Amino acid sequence: MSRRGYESSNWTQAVRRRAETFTWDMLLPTEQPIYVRSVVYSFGALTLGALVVVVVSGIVLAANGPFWWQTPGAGVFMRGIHYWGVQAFFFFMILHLTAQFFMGSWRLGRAGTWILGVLSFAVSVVTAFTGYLSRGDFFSQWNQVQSKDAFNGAGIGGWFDVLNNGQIYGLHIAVLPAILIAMVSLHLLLVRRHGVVPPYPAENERLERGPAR
Amino acid sequence: MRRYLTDPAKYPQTRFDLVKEAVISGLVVLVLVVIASVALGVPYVKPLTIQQVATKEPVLFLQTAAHELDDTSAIAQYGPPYNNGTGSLQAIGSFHPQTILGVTTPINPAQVDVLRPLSMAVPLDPALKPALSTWNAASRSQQDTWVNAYLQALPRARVAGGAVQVPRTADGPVPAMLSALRALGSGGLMSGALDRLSPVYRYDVAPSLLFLQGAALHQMAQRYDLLGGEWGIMHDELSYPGPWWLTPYTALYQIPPYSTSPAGDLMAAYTMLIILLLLLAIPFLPGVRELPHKLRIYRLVWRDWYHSVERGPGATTRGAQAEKRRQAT
Repeated sequence: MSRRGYESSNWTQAVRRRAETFTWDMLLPTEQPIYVRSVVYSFGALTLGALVVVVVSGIVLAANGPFWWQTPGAGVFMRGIHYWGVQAFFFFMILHLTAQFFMGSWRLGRAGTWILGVLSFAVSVVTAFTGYLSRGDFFSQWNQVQSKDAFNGAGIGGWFDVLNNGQIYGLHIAVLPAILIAMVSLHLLLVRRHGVVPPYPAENERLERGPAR
Repeated sequence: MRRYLTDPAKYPQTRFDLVKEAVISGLVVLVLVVIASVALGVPYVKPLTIQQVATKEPVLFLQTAAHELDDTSAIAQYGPPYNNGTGSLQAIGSFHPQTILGVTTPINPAQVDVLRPLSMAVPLDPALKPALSTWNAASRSQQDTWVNAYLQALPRARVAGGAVQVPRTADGPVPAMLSALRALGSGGLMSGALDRLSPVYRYDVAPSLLFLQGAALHQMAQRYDLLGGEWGIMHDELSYPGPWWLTPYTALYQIPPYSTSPAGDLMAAYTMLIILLLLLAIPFLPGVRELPHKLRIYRLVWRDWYHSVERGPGATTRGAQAEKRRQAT
């Protein structure tokens, strides 16, 4: 086998070995540590639930097109599901992010999980904003002309053209959701791989257990 | 010293069904969202069209068109990505990232917004042809003189029965040209004539939106309290919540120097980028990463756990018993 082939084999085998660590028992556990007992642990799952609602309603909207979602009836109702789904998504995501900060969830090798969570939040903001621009009403027009100055001033308006409905709609329904779903999936895999972060040591444990971070 | 426990699997476990939790969470959100959608509806305000402006604000329409024709509009002077002007070029010292990508959407407002639509209208209105020929044959200074005279006379115009009577002045072919343009606008044909950056796909609405972006859109935005000083794009839409998650960003625009600097957008964008980088870096920032431990809010989240562990010897709760077993292993 050539040197090139050998390296390739190593690379693919490394991916395979890594993939094999994700067992069904790890991905869908039947047990959790006993300290996982708080409503706070629901925020992440509720965020994910809202994301599913947003994605599914978005697929229905995209399948039927702008005229449908601006016409009273089923289209406007589905746009309502999408709109309130986004509100719920951000509500639970910000609760989740805030709670994870106060729990120091990056501890003990979980920095990557934190970083992916924050990046998912940032991508979500841009995705939602492109949705506001794609609605096709006065608010879309206003946000387009107002935000063009922000994107132009920041130096990305030459590519991220908020006045180009084709580009913004494509980013909103395909590119950004794909990136977001990939990030959230990786975030979830890391959560399952490392497990839920343990509590900070108790008062009577701290001295004998070492540093908290 | 006992080894510091890092593995959640070494803690006592309880039964857990992730699939059940995911299904319940999804259903809870779905029910909430369906109730909100049925009970509260969804925000929508009809878009502003050039036809509306041409019909209901004819003087504003003519004023906008005259400035486009004379290259004195905000867009004509804007700068990248539309042209090489400097009117809206934002810079902090010599840092002006707006110029990096250059002019990627070239727009000549006089051509795109006025002259090309008029040339397209000639077959519908042959009388327009001499006016356009006169304009095209004139020198640039002559054209400026005509437009300036027209703009000075325009505030004294009389609007009656949909017609605009501009006092006669030395404005050459400008009244005939702009009157024809307004006819195109009030007939609903103008946005179609403007948005032609691509010969087939009309997705790019830059020309029509940039035509509306000045006074026309601002007047309507003011009606809905949407101006920048009123929290701009994150403002509630009618009685509905807007993108409230942009609050930190739009809050910047309420305070100097962001609210006063001509480079406010540039400063706000890079401030948010720095905040994002700081958020990402929290796990590595000494002092910040220990903050949750010092604030002790985590004790509310894990209060049952601490309650059971800290009750000490003789504790009888399930958590304490489990903790004892864990320590024994």
